[in-house]
Amino acid sequence: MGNPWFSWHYVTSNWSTIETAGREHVILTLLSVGIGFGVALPISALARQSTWLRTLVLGTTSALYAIPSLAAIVALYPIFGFSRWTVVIPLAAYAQVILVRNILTGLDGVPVEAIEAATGMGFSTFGTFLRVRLPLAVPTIVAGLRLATVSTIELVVIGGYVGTGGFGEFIIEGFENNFYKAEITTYIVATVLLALIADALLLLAQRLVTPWARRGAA
Amino acid sequence: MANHSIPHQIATWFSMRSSYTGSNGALIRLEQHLEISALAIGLAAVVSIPLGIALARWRRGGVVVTSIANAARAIPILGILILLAVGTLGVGTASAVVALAIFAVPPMLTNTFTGIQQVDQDTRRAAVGMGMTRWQLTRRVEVPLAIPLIATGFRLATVQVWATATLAAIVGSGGLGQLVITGREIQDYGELYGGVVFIVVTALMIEGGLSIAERSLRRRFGDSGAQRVPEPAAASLEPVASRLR
Repeated sequence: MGNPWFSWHYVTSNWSTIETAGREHVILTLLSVGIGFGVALPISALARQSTWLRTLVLGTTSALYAIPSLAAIVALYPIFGFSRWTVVIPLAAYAQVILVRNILTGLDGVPVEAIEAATGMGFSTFGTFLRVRLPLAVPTIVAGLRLATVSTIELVVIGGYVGTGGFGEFIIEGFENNFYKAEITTYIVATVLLALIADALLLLAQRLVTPWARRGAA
Repeated sequence: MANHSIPHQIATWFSMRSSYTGSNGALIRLEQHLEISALAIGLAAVVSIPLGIALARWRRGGVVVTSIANAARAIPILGILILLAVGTLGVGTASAVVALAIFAVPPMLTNTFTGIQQVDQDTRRAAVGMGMTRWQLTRRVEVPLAIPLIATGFRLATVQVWATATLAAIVGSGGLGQLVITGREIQDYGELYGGVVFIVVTALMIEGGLSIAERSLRRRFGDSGAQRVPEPAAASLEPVASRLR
């Protein structure tokens, strides 16, 4: 009996399992990036208040980033078990690190002239932030979201080691199950495809919300 | 073990001598972790630094560098690690070293490439005007000026490899990840959290140590980063590693 690297037969006969794993992979990714983004917004606003707060925020978040995901996931496993939190808490923390940096870079990169023009037109400080600074920062923020989403999709795979669902669980299962190559390859390809689709969708969303960026480029 | 509380198990693990010097002790795992990481970083550096220098000379080099970085980002490292382990390299150190090296290439390659590319055109012209050959220009002007960014790439790659080497234990290559994995399998939470502490503390030490080394290198070779980001506020925004681990 052979052990091929890829088998369509495996894919078709296990389609419903792949679908379920894919759905869970997407849910875990959305939860992590969503919570990460929700946390990153107030943290970025705080970091913009003063230089030392900024240094503190960037220092703390880059220390978080040095913690390996497997260590973080396994450390939370005895507490949260098979629940989604075991994976979502560390992954949201990592996503938040990427997002804070991109939100700050985006907000800093807005030209002073644009802010001055808005003030001259009688915009309030908050109005300027909401209607000028934030929209101009959108491309950089979306770039951060793309990076965070693709990275999170890869990290959900590592959660598979503790069996928290998604594609990773089956990559590990294939390894433990006498090196079942067709199973391993199928789920790796599925992960890569999911990452590419998510990236393309976010790029499309960015084009839709910043139509002026394309008009300027043309 | 399993009937004691988690804090009690942790205290017990840290207080036992065998936790450090035993056959599954932290010291032997640290040694394996060092060996795997050093080999992977060495392999990646040998490939990516010359490649980055060569690509910087080529007009379309930027496309190649970006494509490599983007492709690597979409591929799950655990998947590659397992593919190599079930393939010809087999279970063990070789698979871990190669998988880690593959993913250490993008940060080193991107930073070397950018470092060489950002060398001032006037500086290049002056060197050529002084009669330097293409090779001398690279060796005596471009590479020394690119050293701060090459060092950044090296640091990002090293921190990433050290953290990712935790996964090597899944394919039977040992390392500090083994403590976490064995601890989980035998439900010895002392060993599990002991492993986590060792991994996190060493990762932070490496990150801190390399940052200090990089800063002194920057002072010696001139901070080429400062020219790119004139605003003092943005200067504190250093790049994050190209991928998570």
